[in-house]
Amino acid sequence: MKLSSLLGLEVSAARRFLRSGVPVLGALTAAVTALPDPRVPREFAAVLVVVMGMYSSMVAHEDGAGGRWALLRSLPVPPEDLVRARFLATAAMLLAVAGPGLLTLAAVGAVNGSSAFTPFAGSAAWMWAVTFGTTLAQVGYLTAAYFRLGYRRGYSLLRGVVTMGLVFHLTDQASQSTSPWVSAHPIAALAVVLGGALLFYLLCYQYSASHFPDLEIGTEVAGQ
Amino acid sequence: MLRIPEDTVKVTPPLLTLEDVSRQFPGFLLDRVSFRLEPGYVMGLIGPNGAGKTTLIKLMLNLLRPSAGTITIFGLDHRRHEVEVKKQLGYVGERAHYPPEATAEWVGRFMAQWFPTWDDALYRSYLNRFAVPPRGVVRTLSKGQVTKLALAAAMGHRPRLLILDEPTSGLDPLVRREVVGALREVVRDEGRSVLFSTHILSDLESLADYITVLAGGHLITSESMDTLADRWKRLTYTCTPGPRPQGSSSVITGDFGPDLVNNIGLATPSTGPVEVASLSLEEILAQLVHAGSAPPESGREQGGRVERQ
Repeated sequence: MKLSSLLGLEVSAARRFLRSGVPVLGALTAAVTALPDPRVPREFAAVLVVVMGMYSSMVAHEDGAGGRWALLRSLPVPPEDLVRARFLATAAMLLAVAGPGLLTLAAVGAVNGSSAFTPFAGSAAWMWAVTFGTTLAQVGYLTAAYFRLGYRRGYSLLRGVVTMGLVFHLTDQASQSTSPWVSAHPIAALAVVLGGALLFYLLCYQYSASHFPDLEIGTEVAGQ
Repeated sequence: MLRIPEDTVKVTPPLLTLEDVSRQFPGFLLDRVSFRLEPGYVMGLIGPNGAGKTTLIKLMLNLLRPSAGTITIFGLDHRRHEVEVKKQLGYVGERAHYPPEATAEWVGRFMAQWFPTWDDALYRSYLNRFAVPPRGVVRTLSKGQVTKLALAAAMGHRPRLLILDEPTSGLDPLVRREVVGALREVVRDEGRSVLFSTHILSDLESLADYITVLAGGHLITSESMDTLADRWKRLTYTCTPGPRPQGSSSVITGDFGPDLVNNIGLATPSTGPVEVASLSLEEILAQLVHAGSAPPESGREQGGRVERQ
């Protein structure tokens, strides 16, 4: 009950963003990129929506939740619960952004059969899996960085051009990939990408939870 | 080393004790701050912007770690017994940060989960007293109403210590007066212990029992409001005719006493009585901050400055 209450508070910080239509835009883009002969470069459109969506959600989340930090820390809450709620809420928001797009892809697959994603390497589904995995790992990293460095420093150091470029590069590679192994083992390829990202996310959580007593948030406003 | 003023020492254990608390940042040092707050009193934490007030409160809430020194709240180490300490603590910041779609009732239910001593009837009585509609949605409430909601939420579990960090900042004067009035009523009726950080000194004039002054990261003084008012005076007198033109002169002193009036009389023969007037808190702060621009050896010693006007 208490954790769900904290979770509700965390997610509510990004509720306005979730209402903004980015998840719906993600679903529409997924539909476009899943067309047999898309007129829009599929990797560009899909990646743009997902990556921008992720960054927007992080900004919206941290703007609200970052300001709420003093209120949360004034409560008699074990710090581990705060870390757990933050990681759960962040993953939930990423799912909310990417979820409609993934569901649309699943629907396309259901209608057109596996031929829609054959060969699997270079298909829209593979590209989205790589995008989702990369962003999940990156969101975990950013959240851990938030606990480690505080809001502003985490923002400036890690939400920059370099990390954006990394996601673009990986997803571009995925969209153009013709790897025979990926096409031959689509389930295994998905498990590697998504499982690896999830594992990294859990490691980020574990790091933040175990180091919380030594961490500080809000050092950027020293001297006030 | 900073000295804890003797006039704050009582038999009962203090609610809040800071001993030589320091915190270093690039370009800023909160330097060996020591003071204590006794049960049942209101302490104003004042100082210009950048004095270190918010840093000090963050240290108390364990949002920051001190580079040196200890903070004891309710006789407990505030870091080792963080959850236990916070169960008995109320906090109101400059902004409340409740979800915009939450109602005052939702805030009450949320807070009740965390505080074993939560008293819903008391919380509702505060809402009623502060004229905050229980079903009012946060985004539709005025800024003053949200501040009063935050006050009600912070006091609903009968905290032994209430920490207020610039809660009236950004409110227009009328609403600010209303919020301070509501706070004053509660403090007067219930004898709550409060640490009230603000740079709006008029908020403290009729509220604070003790004043702690910070400037540039240094503790300038921490003493009772009465002591502060007693020792800071403006003396006005008329000069006798002579080589210098006759006229009225005045000095501000932080060491007022009968001897000082006599000394002025000896040094500057006056044609009339020396008039003694009290200073406002704002005037006292200006004198203290000006005098405390260099690191003080002792808070009390900073009060001895005499300035001609």
